[in-house]
Amino acid sequence: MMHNSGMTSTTTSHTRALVITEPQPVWMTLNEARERAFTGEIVFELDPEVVAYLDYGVVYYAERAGDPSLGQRLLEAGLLDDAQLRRGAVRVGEVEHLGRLFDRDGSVERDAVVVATERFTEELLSELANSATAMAHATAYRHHPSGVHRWFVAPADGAMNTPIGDVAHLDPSAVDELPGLPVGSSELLSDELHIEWDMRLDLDDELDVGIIEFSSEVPAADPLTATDPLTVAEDPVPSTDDFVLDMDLYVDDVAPEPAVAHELVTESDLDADADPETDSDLQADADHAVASTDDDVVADDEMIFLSVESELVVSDVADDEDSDVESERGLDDLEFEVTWPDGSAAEMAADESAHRSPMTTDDLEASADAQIEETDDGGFHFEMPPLVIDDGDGDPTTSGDAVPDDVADAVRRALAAIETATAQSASVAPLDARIDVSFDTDEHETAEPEAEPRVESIEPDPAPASWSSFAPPTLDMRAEMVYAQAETVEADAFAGSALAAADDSGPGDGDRTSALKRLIGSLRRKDR
Amino acid sequence: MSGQTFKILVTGPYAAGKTSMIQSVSQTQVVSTDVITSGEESEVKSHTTVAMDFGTYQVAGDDTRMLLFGTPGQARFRFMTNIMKGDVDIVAFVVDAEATATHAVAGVELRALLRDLRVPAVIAVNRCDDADAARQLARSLGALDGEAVVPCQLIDPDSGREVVVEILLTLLTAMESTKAEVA
Repeated sequence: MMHNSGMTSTTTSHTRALVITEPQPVWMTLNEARERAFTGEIVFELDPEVVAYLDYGVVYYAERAGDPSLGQRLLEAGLLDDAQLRRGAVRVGEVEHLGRLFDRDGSVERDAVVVATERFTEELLSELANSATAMAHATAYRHHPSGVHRWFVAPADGAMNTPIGDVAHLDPSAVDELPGLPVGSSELLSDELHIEWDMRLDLDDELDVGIIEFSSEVPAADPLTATDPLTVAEDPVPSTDDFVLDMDLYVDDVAPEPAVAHELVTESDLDADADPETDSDLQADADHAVASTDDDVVADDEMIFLSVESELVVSDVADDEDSDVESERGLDDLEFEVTWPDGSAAEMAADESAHRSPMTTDDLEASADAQIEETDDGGFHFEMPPLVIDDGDGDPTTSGDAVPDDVADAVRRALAAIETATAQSASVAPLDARIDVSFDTDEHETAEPEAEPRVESIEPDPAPASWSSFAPPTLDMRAEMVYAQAETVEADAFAGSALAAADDSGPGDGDRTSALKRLIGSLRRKDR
Repeated sequence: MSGQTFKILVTGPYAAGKTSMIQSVSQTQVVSTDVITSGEESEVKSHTTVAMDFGTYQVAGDDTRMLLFGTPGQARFRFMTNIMKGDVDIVAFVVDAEATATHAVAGVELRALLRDLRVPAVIAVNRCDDADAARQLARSLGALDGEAVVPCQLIDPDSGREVVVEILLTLLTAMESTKAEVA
């Protein structure tokens, strides 16, 4: 088998130039070009000359010298008409560039044109590949002047052409069924993360404290709590990959003194930390309380922990191993006092915790002042740092709505005006009266007279510029009035499409035509 | 019979004159959702439509009325045109003949508009007095032979009113031709 192609090549890091020194079969040249991912033009010295154009080793177009232009061939194939070619081609001098054909004329059937072009190429190459031997000259990165290269490498702008109706809509029922989620998304939590909050019930009565019951035993009837990833372990039997935090708590009303440091711990760190055979590691590192994860800041395999001076066991091993470690270290006797920043520890309950948003690393940075103190009775006192919700703009006082006020105001006014259908009256309402448009949903659901918009007098001068061009709707322009009027009109009067209306050959059709004529006449009288 | 309503969608590229056309015939103050422009747009005009313009016209002593909806000109609001064009009687596409920098965008918009349009369309060529030049421009942007092309000077309300009359005449022609086909 002949393997020496007679072709030598020099390859750089950016181009793959081909230098052909002697005649060889066309297929061999093409094969070498494909193997070298050649991009550019290969001219075969045949009679007539044949030129193939390749992109990354793939021939996208080939033609004989003297062939009609690609546009002409497509015309002859019936895939384009003159108008489409005229609109779609960009002519620069003698060059007829078709690279933007589909962008310039949406009526051209792209797939058919591309398939036809591929057929032209394949027919020529298959004819030559096995029967011709020729000298060839390669020129890297020279493409066909018609711009056909662009069809095969430029992505189609499908988003521009997608009708709006094709966009999938969310099923609102799926959203409605969701419980009130915390501010932070539950997606911030790793799927493998489960937290068990074991509460000791044998607390001293004299402490008069509220008991926090954070456990997987939260009644399932409460959807808010039952679906909260902070409080519910989805798998009652955690796998060896699950991360389990056991924590005993009780609560006391103590003024907050925030002082908590935080650190990032990876799961690999946890593995090392949880090794029951390394007691020193356990002692040093098993003192973390899970706060939250923020996937904007923390990688998937990382978790953030509040550094708590306690002997909590943090492990990603199975429950039984945890139990062994705990019993071994006597952690069952460990107790905590927790004080929330608002001092409302006694009011804290599992449901409330379900609404509490997960803390982010920014929260931790801002509130890294909580601390754990040992109490007189041998327990621990934990002060929860204040939670700061930051929407990302650095200012926790602002909301996440990024729409400028003037834009939102303009849109609201447009919707309100259209809702009240100002066509009811030809008169322009005085500009010194402003309709206080309130988007009360009850206004749309009821036809009560008291649902009228509120009118209040204002000074005309200080009105914003955007208000000056706005005609306030009158009381007769309410949506209820318009809808009532619409009921007296034939259903097809509002069908929207003139064709649809014209399809109706009933008596209303003539009315619509005559109404249109009256409308035209009215406008023409104004012309005069 | 009374109560007939005709809805016209006025669309086109940025600063073509859509709002001016609506204002030329609207009996009510046009609900103009203009805001102050910023960036490069502020060099073209001080205010621009961000949601839509809304104008109305009602025949005196009659319940026949006309509603005009104007879309924002910026490409980022093009989805609104796609939404609204399915629920109007006729579409008017406004293009500024002298704003040649907008013609490429106008062509893209016009072809996208006509691609699946089921109602008649009229191309209003603003700042143009020559019908032939207007038709030539419209054709270069992708208008088909059947589309009505109207040269106009929308800075003049009378010209805007004439455009609206032409739009309604086109609609009337379409309705009558369709009726004839059905018959």
